[in-house]
Amino acid sequence: MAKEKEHMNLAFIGHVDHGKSTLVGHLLLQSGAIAEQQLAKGEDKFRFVMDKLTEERERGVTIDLAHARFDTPKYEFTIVDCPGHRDFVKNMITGASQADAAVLVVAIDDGVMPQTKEHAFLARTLGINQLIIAINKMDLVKYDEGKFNDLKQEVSDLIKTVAYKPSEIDFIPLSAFEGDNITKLSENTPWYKGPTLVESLDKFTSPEKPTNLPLRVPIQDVYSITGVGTVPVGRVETGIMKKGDNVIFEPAGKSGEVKSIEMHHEMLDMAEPGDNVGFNVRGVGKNDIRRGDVAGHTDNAPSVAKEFTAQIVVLQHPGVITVGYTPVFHCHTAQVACTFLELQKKLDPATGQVKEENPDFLKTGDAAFVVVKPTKPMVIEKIKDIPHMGRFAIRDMGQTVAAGMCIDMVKAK
Amino acid sequence: MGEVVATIKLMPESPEVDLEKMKEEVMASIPEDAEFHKIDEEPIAFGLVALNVMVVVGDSEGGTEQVEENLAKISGVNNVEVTDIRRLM
Repeated sequence: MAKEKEHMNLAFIGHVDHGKSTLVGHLLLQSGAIAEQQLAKGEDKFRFVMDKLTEERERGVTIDLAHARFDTPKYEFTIVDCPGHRDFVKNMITGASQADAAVLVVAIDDGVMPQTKEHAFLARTLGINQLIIAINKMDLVKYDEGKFNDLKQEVSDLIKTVAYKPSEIDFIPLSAFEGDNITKLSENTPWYKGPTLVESLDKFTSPEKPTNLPLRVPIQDVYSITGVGTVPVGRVETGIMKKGDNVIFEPAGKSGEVKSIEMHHEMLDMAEPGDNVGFNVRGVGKNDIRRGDVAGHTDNAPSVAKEFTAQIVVLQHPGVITVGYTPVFHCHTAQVACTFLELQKKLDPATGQVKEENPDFLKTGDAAFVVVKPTKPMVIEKIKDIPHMGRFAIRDMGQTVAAGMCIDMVKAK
Repeated sequence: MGEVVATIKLMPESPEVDLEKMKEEVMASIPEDAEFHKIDEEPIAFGLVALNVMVVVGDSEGGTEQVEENLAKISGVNNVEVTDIRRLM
């Protein structure tokens, strides 16, 4: 029997008009998820397929396509085409579906747009370490090498600001409409010596489950179940939890022994990252702990921050952010209001260099280092220690105003 | 403007919650500008069963906010969490 392919979640990110959907459509077409006979001749062929599906209101088909799988020689990919609107950022940060790698799509005729910057920052915040840059719509500039190199330089400068190394990343000139450099090298770009998109996808390394990191289980709910006792429910983000382990819930500070673990109504001896589990803990009452608390081993307890330094990007704010501003931070399952204590430095999004020390305010589009203080104890981890626990969305007035990651902290205990 | 399909997980208040009644209320709660697609049951642990509700909303201001708010009001629902979002082509 053939060896089963490893699975990866692949996110498509970038500006909403830069051809993400067309590129995804093309990849799905290659995989057979879209029937060949639906392909019409003409320059707009993929758009045609999509329009046809919409016209016929074959909703089930389009929804299935959004969850379809796509095979390369090495991997089986599930593609996630990321929403463009900022109001979905909260869901991308706190949601369960974690992308293992991303393709950042930038159209050559439009260049780097604000959303391109936001998505590059979000990819980093979401812990996506593997990236491909797809320079799309090359047909619109007659496959001009000079224009490609100029944009490549511009995007390199941008992604360097969020600690990606352009020298380790493939920049691929392609046309999603024409199919250039997607599965085979195009005659239209004889100057391009790199891999096709599909070849580049196969260069990704398969994601490893973060089993070596300390145990962290953000609590979604706490139940008191007859005949069982207290049952917290949550998804294991990092580490391994075994029956018999001593765990502590922070910031509650309560600890107990894990008596049993269940997932899908089946008993488990241990739970690992990605598992949605309920576990019975002896010595902890239902009212001792709550949603937003985090379980970890007693000898390596979750960090409770008194204050923390964060790198943030302001996505949309009707006014300005100043010291004293206290919006709600959504971090794992916790929602805690945090006060801005200090605006340390504002960064130039193009170079990552400090543009201004101690700015008076931040506005939409700004990236900055800031110090914030939670109004009540909250668990957060440094992004470089436990990336899964270090990112957050900032919400105010029903909007996601900013997103960020924890760089450093002063612990409360 | 594109569309986004969201999967929203509803955790029940207890293992005794009437899931069929909850499903009916879910369908009735979907706001006009969103489109209900389907509900799947997901067994969690110790008799608790979550509902995964799939809805389609616009890739626009507000996101899944209104849907989440309505779902949170349903009796028997302990909490609501968006577990997956992706654009439709």
